[in-house]
Amino acid sequence: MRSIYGLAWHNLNAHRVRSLLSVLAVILGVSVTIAGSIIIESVREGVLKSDELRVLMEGLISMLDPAMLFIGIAVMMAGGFLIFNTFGMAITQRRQQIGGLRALGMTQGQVMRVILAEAALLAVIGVVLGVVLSGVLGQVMVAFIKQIAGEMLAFGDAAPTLPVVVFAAVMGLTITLFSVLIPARRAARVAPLDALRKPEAAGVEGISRWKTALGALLLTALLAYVIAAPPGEWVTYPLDFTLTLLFIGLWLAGVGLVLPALISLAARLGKRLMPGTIGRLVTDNVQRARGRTSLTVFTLAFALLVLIGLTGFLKFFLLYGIGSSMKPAEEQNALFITRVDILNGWGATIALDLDSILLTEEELQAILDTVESSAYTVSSYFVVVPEISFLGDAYFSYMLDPTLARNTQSMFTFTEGDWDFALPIMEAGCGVLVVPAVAARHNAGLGDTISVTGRDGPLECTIAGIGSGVAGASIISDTVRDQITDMNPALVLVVPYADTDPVTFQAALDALVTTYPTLHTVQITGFMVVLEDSLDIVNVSLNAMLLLATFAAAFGVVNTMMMSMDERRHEFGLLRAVGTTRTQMRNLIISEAALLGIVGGVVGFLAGIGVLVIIVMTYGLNSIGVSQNLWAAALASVQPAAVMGFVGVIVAPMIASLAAWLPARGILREKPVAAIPRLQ
Amino acid sequence: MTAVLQAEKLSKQYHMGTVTVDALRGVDFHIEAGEFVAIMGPSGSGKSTLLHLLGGLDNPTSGDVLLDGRRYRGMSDDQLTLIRRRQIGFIFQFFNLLPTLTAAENVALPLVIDGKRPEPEHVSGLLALIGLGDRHDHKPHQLSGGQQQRVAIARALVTQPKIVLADEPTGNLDSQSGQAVLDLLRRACDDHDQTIIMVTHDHHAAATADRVVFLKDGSIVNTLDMNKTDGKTRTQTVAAVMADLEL
Repeated sequence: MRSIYGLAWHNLNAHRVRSLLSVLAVILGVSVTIAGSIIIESVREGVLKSDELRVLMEGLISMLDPAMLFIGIAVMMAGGFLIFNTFGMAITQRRQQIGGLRALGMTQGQVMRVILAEAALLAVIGVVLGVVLSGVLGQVMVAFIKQIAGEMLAFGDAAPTLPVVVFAAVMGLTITLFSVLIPARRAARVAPLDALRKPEAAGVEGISRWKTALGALLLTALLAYVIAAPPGEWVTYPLDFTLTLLFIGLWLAGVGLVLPALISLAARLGKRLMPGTIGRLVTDNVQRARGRTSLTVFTLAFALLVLIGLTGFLKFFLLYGIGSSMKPAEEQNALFITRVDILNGWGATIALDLDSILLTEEELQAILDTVESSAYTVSSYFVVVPEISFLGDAYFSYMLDPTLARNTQSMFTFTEGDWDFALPIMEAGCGVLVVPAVAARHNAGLGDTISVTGRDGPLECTIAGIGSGVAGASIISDTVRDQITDMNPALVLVVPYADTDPVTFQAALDALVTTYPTLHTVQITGFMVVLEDSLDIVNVSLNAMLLLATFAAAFGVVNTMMMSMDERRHEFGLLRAVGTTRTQMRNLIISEAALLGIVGGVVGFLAGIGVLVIIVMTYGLNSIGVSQNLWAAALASVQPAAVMGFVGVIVAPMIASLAAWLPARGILREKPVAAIPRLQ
Repeated sequence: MTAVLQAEKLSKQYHMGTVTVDALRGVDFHIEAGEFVAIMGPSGSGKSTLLHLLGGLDNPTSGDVLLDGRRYRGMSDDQLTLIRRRQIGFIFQFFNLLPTLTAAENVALPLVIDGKRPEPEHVSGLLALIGLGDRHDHKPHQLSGGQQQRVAIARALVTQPKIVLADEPTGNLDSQSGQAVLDLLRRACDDHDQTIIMVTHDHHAAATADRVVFLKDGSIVNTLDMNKTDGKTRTQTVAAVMADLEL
């Protein structure tokens, strides 16, 4: 060993299982992040066959990017908790050793650097293996999603992109090192005198009343506030996002603060349910080393909370946000006529390039001839104008004839302005109808001018209205069509007159699609079903990815139980020596883990529901101009999430018990005398 | 002879809840270069506290320690750490060897911590000196307790410190291993002019020293110059003083 950093390698090597668990956590975080991008790229490759189509549809698919990124970060954070806990416990166990090194002349800075070097080594190994394994995980996930998606989605070949790999690697390194900072500082502060003290197993520790009270106050106040005066009713972009993040952070902090008290409460309840010595030991043991026990339970709860929060948020945003923007059209029995057989799933676009999707002049004329006398129609051009895209800068916008759009009464719902204000602007030149988030992004209001990207250079457009467009898209008037696009419309929205005979109308549509087999009629109601099915697929896929966060949490339980058992070897030896059978010991250990799992499951379930309510009531939908009854939306979003959460409540104790059983086996095989430490 | 280590009116109080315990009460003490001093006393007499303060492992409530004329008071943690690293060698009761390192690596550890590249001959020479020349690559768990303590002694000597502090170095060993450790410490003092302070409960161990300082209730109550004591009755003399103290 030539430098103190050699100690880092020696320490990792000496505690291989602990190191392995930490590396696995980094691998999970990194590989999930990269695998998520592989899935999205695979969808891109499968669905988007031409560059033009790619440009047009990129916005839709890129909606998945933040979701996948979020999952990667969530898994890595769960891994971060594990690493924090692992190092925290390791420092506690190595206190005497570190004290010895301090006594021998190691400075606080040197101790800290050795610990950080250990973390950096783990992170580098985890990142490298995570990158290598991400390809396999990505392909497994794509195969899994293929199975559940059927014809709904199409997939192509995809490989991880360099920026994503770099991002995942930097994230893995950063979160690992950040997670170890506090334990490393603790290690640096170990006094040389600790070298002279014998390490002791943690006893039953008290609870900080003020922390519990603060946490309870935080949770109650937060919930009371968002229920009594939902910020979602007034908050606008970009404060909606910031405020939601802040409230989620406070909520998590509150959960963390009350968690030790909840574990104690569960222990007290458990004591009543499990009378006798074993029950007493189980309930006492979960109250020892509160810091690490709480963090382990928090990791479990966090994994479940993210599952519930994401499931519910997607339901809320896509169905109550994007979906509700289609309500006016749905209520008027609107339909659209397009070349894409969307009712058979997005996969129907596989065989199509852009030319195959766009309506020909002949088809367009035939559609108009067929329905003109019985319905309002508006031909919709899909364009990508970054400045008016509501999500990122690649989401599509509609280019429409404003008069026809007004006639349908389906394409835009105003929150500021109206058609009387908008129409003259849109007919005279470039007028845009945008969602509030777009207007706020430009710091512009009704009647203000913004510069957008045209085919031949910048184009000045006036904000003619602010509100909610179908599918969240903005609308740009077709008076500047030549300056924006040279493509044909992709669909015609058809809204039957109130007095149109539905039977005759349907017969005319049937005749149209018989004459032009390339055309398909899509009822908005049917499209909503497709949207919900798509959402289900996305949800299942995301949840499958998030299950990996639960794995990270399970590693945490393995690690905590392993540390705890190592520390309590002497106690176990004593219990065995005084006649406790292996079965009783096994029950003791598994019951402890199960109790932690139950608390983690229940807390994760309740905290997940809470976080979802906070998201819905705080984020609202003002940024996309949708006015919703937030309570109704919250309740409806909670339902599917609650099912997921309930599964978690059942599964968490099972995962925890299994995680405890693995390290318990080794100890239970030992003879009682082997567990009693001999004098060194 | 000059004092290499000096304690001036050294006091240490511990607060245990509402109770204040005086572990040391204004101890004045000095040790000369090349001297081997044993500190004895009943449990709770303050001997370990004195050793910790002399080694810069803890801060006194009042008073000061001077090593080679340099005062500990006012030194930063890093400055004290450098003193421990380069001028003091420690031997612990429980050895405190790093279990993942070999015997040679454990011996060389203080040099590595100091950013120096240990010379293999120097380390091998020390291992040979303690009689473990053939245990160079053995890990601590492959060594007996006595052998581990000898490795700890070699580690304490590797930086050629001004002073070696030993806290119950034989407390965890059988009598044969304990004697080997004491012989080593004696040789380090006699052959290499090493200054040694040893805290011990063992009369026989204390009798190996040049001087025995007796503590009771945080104060020095007696001192025996072992060089003036008949070799055959040294252990009995120490035992007699201790018996008086424990009455």
